[in-house]
Amino acid sequence: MFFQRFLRMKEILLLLNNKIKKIENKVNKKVCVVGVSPNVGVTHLCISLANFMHSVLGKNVIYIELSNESQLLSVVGMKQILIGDILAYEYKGVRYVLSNDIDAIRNIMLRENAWFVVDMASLNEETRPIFNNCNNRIIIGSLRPWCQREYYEFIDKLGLLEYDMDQMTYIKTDTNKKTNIIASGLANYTKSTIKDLPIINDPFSLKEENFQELMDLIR
Amino acid sequence: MIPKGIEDRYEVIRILQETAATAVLLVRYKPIGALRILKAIHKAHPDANSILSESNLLQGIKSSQIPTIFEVEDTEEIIYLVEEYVEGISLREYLSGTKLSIEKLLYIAIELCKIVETLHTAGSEPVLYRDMKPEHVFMEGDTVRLIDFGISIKKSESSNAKPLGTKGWAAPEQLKGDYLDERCDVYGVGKIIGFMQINSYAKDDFRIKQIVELATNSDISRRVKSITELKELLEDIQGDRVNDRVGKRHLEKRIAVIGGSHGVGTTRIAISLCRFFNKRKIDCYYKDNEKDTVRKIWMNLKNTKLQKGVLYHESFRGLFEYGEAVENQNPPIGLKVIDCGTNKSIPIGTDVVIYVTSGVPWQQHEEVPEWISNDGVYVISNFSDKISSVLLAKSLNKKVYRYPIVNRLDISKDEENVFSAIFKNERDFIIAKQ
Repeated sequence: MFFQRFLRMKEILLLLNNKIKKIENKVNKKVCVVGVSPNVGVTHLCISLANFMHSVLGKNVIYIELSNESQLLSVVGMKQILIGDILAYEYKGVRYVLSNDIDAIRNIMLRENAWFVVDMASLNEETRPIFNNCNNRIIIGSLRPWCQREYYEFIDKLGLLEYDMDQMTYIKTDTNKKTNIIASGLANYTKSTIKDLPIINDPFSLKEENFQELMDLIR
Repeated sequence: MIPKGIEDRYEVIRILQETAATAVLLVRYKPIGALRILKAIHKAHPDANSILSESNLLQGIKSSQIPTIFEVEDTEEIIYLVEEYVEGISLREYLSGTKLSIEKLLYIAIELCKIVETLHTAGSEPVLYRDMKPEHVFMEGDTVRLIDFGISIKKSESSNAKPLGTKGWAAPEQLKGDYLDERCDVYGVGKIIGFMQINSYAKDDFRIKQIVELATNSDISRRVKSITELKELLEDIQGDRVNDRVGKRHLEKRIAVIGGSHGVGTTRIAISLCRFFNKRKIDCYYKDNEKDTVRKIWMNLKNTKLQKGVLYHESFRGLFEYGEAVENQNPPIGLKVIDCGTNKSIPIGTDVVIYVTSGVPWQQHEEVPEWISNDGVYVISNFSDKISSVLLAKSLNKKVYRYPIVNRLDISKDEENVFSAIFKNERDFIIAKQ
């Protein structure tokens, strides 16, 4: 009798969970990606995610690069457009806003009915409102033995453990036996799994084999 | 008005047309005894230069389907031109005694496209023919020829060209004197194809009707863009028929499923049809023209597999439309089922149309499209009882297939029976029960 009730309860909870997930899927995704240190592949992943969201999931996507000097302009800057009164660029269906004007970006994120990918050069008090405004936050860093401390310090310094665990994703850049062991320690510390950085050759020409990993990152 | 001084070379056989200042004569060229056409015009006539321009235009155009110009003479009073005499009969005369098969219709239409293509790609700039009508298309046995280039012009001259042409055959922009390009001849050829279709066994073939509509659209921006594109559309249909003969009947066929209104079950029927063919080992792919069905199936169903732009789920195969940022995928070869939603425009290249309507009272009074009576169009009535299906069949004067009530994702036996019944009528889709 108790067992049957337990099963019934479990079924109801699963149904509720699925329903919540479905509702979450209908909410516009706001994904931001931050690197623990420079050159860990933040922009590469952001472009891959933005292109995946648009070209595979069929979403209206705005890519925001929070940076003083954009490296992307030469690649995506062929076609200028306006989003409200903000200058943007359109490339392969994704709209790119390359600016570090926090207020303007917050406005766009509030106003536009779109999915967002925010490429954050750094996470500090100034950029924190954008980070807080996202519902999917991805942290990328190396877990090589000489880098792991930096990863922990980054989490502690910015208080990342205080965020909703379901909205945080931790990614490591290298996969080998040693980093896997270190990753299990970090997984315990953050109470979440540590994912591997997807290997994508060209973020502007995605392959089907990349889809599942990218989907997992935004689920 | 016979030019003086031609007697030593030409013997006048017959006067074909004569006015005070112009003449068209059938003559025999004495040295070799060949028949030729002599066109003469008095220099005082306002169109006196048209003969010279005709000869200039046709110079350098190499086509056995266009008359050869042998001689142009500019005398004191008269200008005359001698050209090849085209034997045979005009298309109008030809059709008065012959009902065309679809093969013959396509053959003549494609040949005509090739002639116009030669004009459009000749020399330094395109020549616009501007005078397409059944009287100017000649059938010399199996050879199609085009005559009378009297109002043809070079494209660069189109802004100054007089608004000439035959009403009912010439493009609207030509008669209005607007800017002209090659699309005025696309219109003309489209009109000829339409004329041939009326006098053919393909009268109810919606594929040809569709091409005629596209080629003769009065809005030039929506018209078929070039004569080559028109030729390719015709060749696609011709290719199907060649494939029929060599036994590749189901390859590259397209079935459009079109809903009478929202909620009549178009998507369900299109998906089930795709499953139906795949279960019978005929590669069939579902394509959604209006919605995001394949993407939604991928996102919401378990056990799906994406490979080379195709989503696989049990016997379902759907074409996934990726955006620009995914590497290119070659479309697979096989039958295509196109879910058109409620869009009543039949997609180009469609071979069979399934029109889905509903038997529920609040969906019954939809306007049926004009093409519903055509061959190759089948009507399915969904959510209907026997009486409403019979009434619908009576009002359409066409067989109506009643679709069963279904309550599971996979295709049911009853659904399979409906599709079997439909496709046993199509000789290209001879499908035995599994």
